[in-house]
Amino acid sequence: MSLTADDLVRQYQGALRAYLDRRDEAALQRAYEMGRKAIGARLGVMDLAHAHQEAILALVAQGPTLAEGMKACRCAQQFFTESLWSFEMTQRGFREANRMLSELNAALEARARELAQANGALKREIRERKCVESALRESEENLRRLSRRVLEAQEQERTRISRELHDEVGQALTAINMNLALLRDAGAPRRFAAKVADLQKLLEQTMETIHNFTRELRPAMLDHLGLIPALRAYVRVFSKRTGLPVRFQAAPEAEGLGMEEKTVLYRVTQEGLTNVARHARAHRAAVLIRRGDRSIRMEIQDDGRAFNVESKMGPRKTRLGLLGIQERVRLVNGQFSIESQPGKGTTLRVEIPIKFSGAKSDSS
Amino acid sequence: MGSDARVEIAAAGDILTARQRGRALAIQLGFSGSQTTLIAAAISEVARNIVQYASRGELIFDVIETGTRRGMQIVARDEGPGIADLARAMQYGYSTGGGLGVGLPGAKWLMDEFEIVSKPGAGTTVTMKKWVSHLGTNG
Repeated sequence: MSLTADDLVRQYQGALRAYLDRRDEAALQRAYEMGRKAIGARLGVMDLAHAHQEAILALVAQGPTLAEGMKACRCAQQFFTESLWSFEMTQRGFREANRMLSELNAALEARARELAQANGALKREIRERKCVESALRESEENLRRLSRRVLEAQEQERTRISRELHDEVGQALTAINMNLALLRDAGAPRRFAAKVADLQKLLEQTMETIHNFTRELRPAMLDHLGLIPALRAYVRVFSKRTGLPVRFQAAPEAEGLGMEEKTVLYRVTQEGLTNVARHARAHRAAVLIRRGDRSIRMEIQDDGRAFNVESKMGPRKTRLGLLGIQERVRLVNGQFSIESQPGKGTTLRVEIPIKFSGAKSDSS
Repeated sequence: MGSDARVEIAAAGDILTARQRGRALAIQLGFSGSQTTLIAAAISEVARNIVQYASRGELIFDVIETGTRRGMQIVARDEGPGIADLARAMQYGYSTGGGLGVGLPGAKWLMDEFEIVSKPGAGTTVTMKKWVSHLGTNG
């Protein structure tokens, strides 16, 4: 039941006439209700004004005299006003809504500003964190570098000591030996000669000890002949000393590693075999060097009793040797692992990356 | 000049009675023509609200005076279901009864002072005031 503009014109006219006749509250109420209904029917102020205008025209036309017609028009004013109040209410409603909208907008803007600020603060914090992160990374790099330097220094020291021992002490001992020989041949009484012979034997033993020690410290072979000869020699000496047979097999590509990497493999072999001799109670061992896709792989195996890898490599660090090896391997970007199982013995594995260039050359 | 008038609202016809009493008092107090119309409109809305949602209630008219001015107070009270979300009901455009929503908010904008108390199950009381103003026809 929707009111049209035309309906409004008709109803308005009827209601206005009734008002002019009776001038009572009921008629005024009708005016008010009409205005309300018009809003509900989505009619506008203009429609109401139009209805009023039409009604006025009719009044003037129908009034007995012009004066009476004019009087009627003036009375109609009250009726018109009454009908308009609903529209006034909606007007004020819109103003109120508008005001609230403005407030909301202002609040939103304030909020947006707050968020922008918070964002700025967040960005700053992220930047700070990144700075801290990169500082930490730098710190880590420095520590690594320091580690490497220390190990380098250690190797250099060993080389120096080895050389000194060999050159200075070794030579002196040789000289003493020669002089002793001369003494012996100088035609002295038998007991004297026997004593000299004893001295010579002692000296030879000492020379051998020193010789072994220097080789243990830093094998000249490693520097002069290469990794594989040095390892082969070491393994042989080790077997002889401990009575443990050690199989040795090496891929020639291993010589393509740099000096630092070769030293690492040599040290790993030293440490690994020393541990086997000391703890494993093995019957045999093997040192195997193979070539991988882009790496050199070494395995040191023994068939002795297994040990609990974690307890030895864990936080309490009871096997310093192994930990040192791990760090050395890491410094040359290698990987290190130990596998130990009862009944299967122990296998130590080292993998070091290498660039295969075809020719076997030192890349140090 | 304390005249106290009470109109019981139980049917749609009572709205008319309330308007009559209200307008009469307004004219007596010296409100202008358009202001009396405004008061009648506000009365229409609150009374209609009672009829529509509470079925029965009352309107109480009072003369109010401060040192410098004089006016009219209308209290519309009912024991109907009350308004659950008052803020929303007083928002322009909101209506649960399928109507326009002009109702109570409309009355608020017409009067000088407007207070509403309503709780679900405890009914609704509207207190509104209009002061006599000599500033023009805009109420």
